[in-house]
Amino acid sequence: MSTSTAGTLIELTAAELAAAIRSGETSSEEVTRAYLDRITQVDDAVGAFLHVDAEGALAQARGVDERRASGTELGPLAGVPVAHKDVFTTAGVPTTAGSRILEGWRPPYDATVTQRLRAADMVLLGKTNMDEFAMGSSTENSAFKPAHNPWNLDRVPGGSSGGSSAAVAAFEAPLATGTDTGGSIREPAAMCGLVGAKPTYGGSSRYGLIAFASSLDTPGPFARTVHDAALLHEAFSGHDPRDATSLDAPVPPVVAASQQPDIAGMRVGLVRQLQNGSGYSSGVTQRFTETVELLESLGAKVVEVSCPSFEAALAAYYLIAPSECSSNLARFDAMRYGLRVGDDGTRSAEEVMSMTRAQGFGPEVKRRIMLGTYALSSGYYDAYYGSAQQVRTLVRRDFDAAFENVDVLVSPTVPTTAFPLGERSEDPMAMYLADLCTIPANLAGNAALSVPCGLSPEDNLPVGIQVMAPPLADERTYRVGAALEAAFTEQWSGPLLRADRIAV
Amino acid sequence: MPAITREEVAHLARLSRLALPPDELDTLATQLDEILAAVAKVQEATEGNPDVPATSHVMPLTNVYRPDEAHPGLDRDAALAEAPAVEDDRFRVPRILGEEA
Repeated sequence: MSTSTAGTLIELTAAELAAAIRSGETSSEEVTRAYLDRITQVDDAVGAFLHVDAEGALAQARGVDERRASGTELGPLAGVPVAHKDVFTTAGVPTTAGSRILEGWRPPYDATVTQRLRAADMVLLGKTNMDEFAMGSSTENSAFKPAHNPWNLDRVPGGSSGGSSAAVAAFEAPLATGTDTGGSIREPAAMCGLVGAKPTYGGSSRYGLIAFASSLDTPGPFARTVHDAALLHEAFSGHDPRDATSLDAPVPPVVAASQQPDIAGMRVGLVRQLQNGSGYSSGVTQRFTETVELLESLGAKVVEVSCPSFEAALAAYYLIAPSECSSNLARFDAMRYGLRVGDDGTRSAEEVMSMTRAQGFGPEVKRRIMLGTYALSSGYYDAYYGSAQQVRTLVRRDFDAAFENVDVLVSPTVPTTAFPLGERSEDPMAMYLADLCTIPANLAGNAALSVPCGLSPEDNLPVGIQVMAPPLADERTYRVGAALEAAFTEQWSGPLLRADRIAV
Repeated sequence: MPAITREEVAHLARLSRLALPPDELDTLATQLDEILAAVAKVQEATEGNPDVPATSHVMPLTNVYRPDEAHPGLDRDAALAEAPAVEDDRFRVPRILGEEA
């Protein structure tokens, strides 16, 4: 990366950029141009964006600069660019959820998260690449193109929010939104050396979020620092009357927690079932073990806890999520919006619908619709969907019991580092295993966050540690994240993610 | 014995409104069989606990009401703007009568 002024600008944190914009040291337009230039330079190689809205972004940026010039007091992220996952509707701006069935669709309304980014005076750079309908762990299920890991372009950036993680890691955006249904923020954050948070279920709004599995889908932030993630988390979270499952509770004090890197006396539980299994790479295990020792040296009291039902969490998830998706995706019926195939005047609505869905959905989406339809069929319902819902209860009880004795739980975020593109794309079960450690928190609705804990000695790729807290105790995850970030920054003489360490 | 037969997969495709060619059905039959074998683990986990209640939703929310106030919805032009086909200011759809149930 060049060391020009623009290069320096895009390496600043979101908090630093916002301060520089407020003070007049730079302008939102200058920052936005620097990021748009960077996208032009590197995104052919990274594939982080499905749509770049240069004109719209510059207009928003100028608007912020004008408001500042007229003396309006600006918010904590005013003028800062953000990359927005293509699963959130954006009025008039293409929204596809990574699917051909929505190619070219321009929604007539904004998602609540989108509205709140705009209300915070943030600049929407464009829409990020993702696994189709957020189903996947590598972004290889995008109907348009795969995204690449900026640390090594032959590796996946994780998924489903892999365009968002790739964009932030490649310095194409200081912040990005994502959604986490089974790990789709934490897993790509870990694989790209970023901070990523899954807020408490219901803490961030699903209105205008193209639904995958409604009882699990949770919008959350990606950032290069814990504090930046907290700022974005706070900017778009909070009660939304338009989402019936939105919690009418204050946003947990995540920003304050991100500035209190003190965990002396905190009780940290090590989940026995989420470590050292056959699927864990030795590099991940090594970095995780070192990080647990670091937590102890920072004054935390570490104990091992047992959550036996977590062993069945992955299986329960891959019944519950497909079941909900088979119902949610029934709305793609070729009648009111999106693709329509075979409407030649001779075919019935049902034939057109079936042809459209067969052509418009990719293999993983079809697989999950079929799996969900099976699990919900009479005759199989009790054995599959019913049992999965019982496991969900057991997972929740395990969390409840654990949190009687500890403040947070930790595990590796992902059992391995970023795997090579193509390695798991033909093997659905191998792909599903990437979500092994992240799924329990989705099933129970907990808050969880992934923070970088080093590069694996095996392949020099980032490793993340996951911190889990009870519902609405999101601030605990940020506090632990901030403490680890501060200690590691000192140990490494700087952040893990640096412009001269990535491949673009 | 496989957990799911080729015939069941074809039936599921019809229920799912997916007009899939035979080769896709073949692939799916193999993959779904493998996935179902793996996710059957939920049955072991609940075997000794038949009385565990099901959780469909994690937050204790019931009947969320909003004030009964009128708000404007999408206007007709906005609603029709992205339709695959429009006729006389309405969504035009293929025939729905005379088809099999």
